[in-house]
Amino acid sequence: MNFCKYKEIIEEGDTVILYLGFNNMHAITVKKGETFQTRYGALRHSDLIGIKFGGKVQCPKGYLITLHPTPELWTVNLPHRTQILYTTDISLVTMQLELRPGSVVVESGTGSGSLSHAIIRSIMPVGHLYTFEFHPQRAALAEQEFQNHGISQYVTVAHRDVCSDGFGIENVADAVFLDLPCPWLALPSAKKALKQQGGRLCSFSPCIEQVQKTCEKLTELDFVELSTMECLVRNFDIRTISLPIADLGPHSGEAANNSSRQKAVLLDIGDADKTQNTSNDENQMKVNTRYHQDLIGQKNETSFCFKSGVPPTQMPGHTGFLTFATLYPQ
Amino acid sequence: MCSTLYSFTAKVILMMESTCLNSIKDESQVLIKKGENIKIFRVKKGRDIFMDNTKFSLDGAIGHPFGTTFDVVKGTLVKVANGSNKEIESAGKDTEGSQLKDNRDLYDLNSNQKLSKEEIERLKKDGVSGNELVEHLIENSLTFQKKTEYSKEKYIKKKKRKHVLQLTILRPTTRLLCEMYSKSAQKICYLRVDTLAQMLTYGNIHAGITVAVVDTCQGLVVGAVMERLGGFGQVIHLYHESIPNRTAVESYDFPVEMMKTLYSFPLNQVNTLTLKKATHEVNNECISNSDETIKDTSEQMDLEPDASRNVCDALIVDKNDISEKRTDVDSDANKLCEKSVGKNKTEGKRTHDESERKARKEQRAKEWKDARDLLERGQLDCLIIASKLHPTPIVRALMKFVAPSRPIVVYSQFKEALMDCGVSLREEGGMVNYRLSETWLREYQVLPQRTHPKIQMSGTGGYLFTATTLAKISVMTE
Ligand SMILES: C[S@@+](CC[C@H](N)C(=O)[O-])C[C@H]1O[C@@H](n2cnc3c(N)ncnc32)[C@H](O)[C@@H]1O
Repeated sequence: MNFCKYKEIIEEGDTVILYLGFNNMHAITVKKGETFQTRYGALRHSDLIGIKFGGKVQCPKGYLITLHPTPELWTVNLPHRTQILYTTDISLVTMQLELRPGSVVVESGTGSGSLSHAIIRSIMPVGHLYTFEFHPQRAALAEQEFQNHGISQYVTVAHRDVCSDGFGIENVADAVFLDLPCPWLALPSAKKALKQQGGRLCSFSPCIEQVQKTCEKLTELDFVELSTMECLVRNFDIRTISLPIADLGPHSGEAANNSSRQKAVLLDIGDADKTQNTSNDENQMKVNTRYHQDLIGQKNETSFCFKSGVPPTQMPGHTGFLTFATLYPQ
Repeated sequence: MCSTLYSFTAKVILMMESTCLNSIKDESQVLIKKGENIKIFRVKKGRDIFMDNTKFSLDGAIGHPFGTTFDVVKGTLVKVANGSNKEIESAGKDTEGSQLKDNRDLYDLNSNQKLSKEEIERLKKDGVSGNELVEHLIENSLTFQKKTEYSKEKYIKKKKRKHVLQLTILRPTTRLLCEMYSKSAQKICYLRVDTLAQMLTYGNIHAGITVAVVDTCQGLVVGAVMERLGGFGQVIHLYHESIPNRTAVESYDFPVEMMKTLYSFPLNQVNTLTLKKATHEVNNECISNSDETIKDTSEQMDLEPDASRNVCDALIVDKNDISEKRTDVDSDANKLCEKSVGKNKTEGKRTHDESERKARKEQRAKEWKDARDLLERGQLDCLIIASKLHPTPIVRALMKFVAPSRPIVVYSQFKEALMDCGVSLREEGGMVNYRLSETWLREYQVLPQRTHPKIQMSGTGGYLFTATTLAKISVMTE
């Protein structure tokens, strides 16, 4: 299969994302004779062959959905060999590096290939990615993955220490991306790798001290438009919330006539409308409609009911700082 | 078939790379960046532009590569030599101990500067460049050496801003256009660069796919998608106003070959779309029907067939709406008024207009037909909505034209609109992987000993709803 070209029907050797729920997906490579254990029992790979991406497949205790892989789905399902970049940061990197079909990109380290897949998707079919990794096994596994995903023609994996040996290429890249412990050591060579007409650079670092050193080196090397940023994502759960209405006890004085709690609520809402010059009848009607369908939600005697986008109580508060810079034509 | 298409378009791309992308030409769209300020212009030989109250010509930029920095000297552009900028910046930098200085001995006095206003003016007239002038000012400042390093830099920056009109000419890209629009975010429905970035990745936008885009953000989203398709694939712009507003797309200066990948279809015809099986006859009927509408309304509104309706719709909404939106709609209405006023003036040219109008109508009918065919095939690879409209009815009307296992991406300035979208789609079924999210972007000042988040940040970049479509036969609940 080609990761970057949608196809309709699942065949042997394809990567399929099995979807069981938002936080419950698995990436598998279809191989006749193998089975995969899921919450719904064993899935025979051969049952996948011939069905549609976006279709469903029956397991003993329920069905799963078969999704076509995308770099985004791969990022949340890939085998971790290192820390990886997630889609929020990847999106910003792709945008800020101005990647598009035809871009030539240099990346280090390859790590688990999470970013690499997204880069390849954005620059193919006429661009190229040179990705550098000094850990021999990681480099080899990444190369194997690109092959399995049918995208190896767009990428060259090099096993190399870019901090001590440099990238070894000159005047080829439109963009450079660094995710290294000491990115400043790779900067002089990164500058050489960029095209003479200039280009963009990004460095991802979790710590501010790394950013500080990187920015100093970038300035020294005549990079301009330096800009460091942080991007976080917040997901919302759409929930129906029902807040109990407090029992504030019986009214005294004037309001004692409207002793039931329901009337108290009505009055409460009605008061807001009194400022407008409406007849009593009209007012009463308005009160009733407001009572049944408030602008924000619904109220009854005992509760106020509404839909809300609820953020998680815990969420990642930091991934890393992204530092971008431009090299103008030399 | 795809591979031949690729290699053909590859040629186009390479051609584009070599001819258009790298150097500034007469008629090029250029972004002029001066400090934080970015503006778009079209180079027109022999014509002056205005920026920062200065009139100058861009002729001097022609032939230079994008990314070149110029000084404005006597109304013309003079290329700045590489690195010459750095010297002046470091002139103010002295070494250790500078951190220890503080401002206890500094008073804000005009007399701190030995050069008088008249002397400065004379230097300028003598043709002393802005940078040289700033150096003179530093030499003649009584307080400069007493300043902390930080205020020295600030001083230089301030003086430069005042006396040096130095600018860099850049090629328009999504990144830079977002930066430009961030100063007038209401024009693009408050869509922020990081949000747009998420839309393009979650939409899995890449070469070779067909994308439908509902865009009332001046075409910025359409342009961003086209940039990522790079001439491979198709974009259908579903537009809201009577004619597509795509100012931003023009800014990109896409080559003609790439513009051919852009199709247009009016939102107010979406309900006439039928999935695939539509016969030729039905198609023709629809086209002639829509011609009818044009004829009817164009009697009153001239070239703006749906303008009157749009204004009405907008105003009705406005009545129940929050005050903030009122200004928005009003200005829209004003624009339309201006337009029709302009039209009345040209009444004399009626007959000429008549034939032109007919030609345009035929042209538009053809465009619509092509877009309609693409949509009705039901093989869209992505649906993106980024508009000021309520998204739910749009998604529901268009989702059946999206192929299975494809992303849909909906942007709104308001979370509630997307909550409605989410709840209603979940009820309808046919999709999985629902997600409602928001991103948060914080920029940093990075300087030795003075690194901290920027004092100002954007409070919102809008919200996103994404989901993945399923094969049509299977009815599913999550
Ligand atoms: C955090 S991981 C990169 C993750 C990657 N961005 C992703 O999204 O999957 C960093 C990688 O850089 C590699 N690395 C560290 N120093 C290196 C060097 N000097 N040269 C090449 N690779 C290096 C490490 O082996 C590691 O795999």
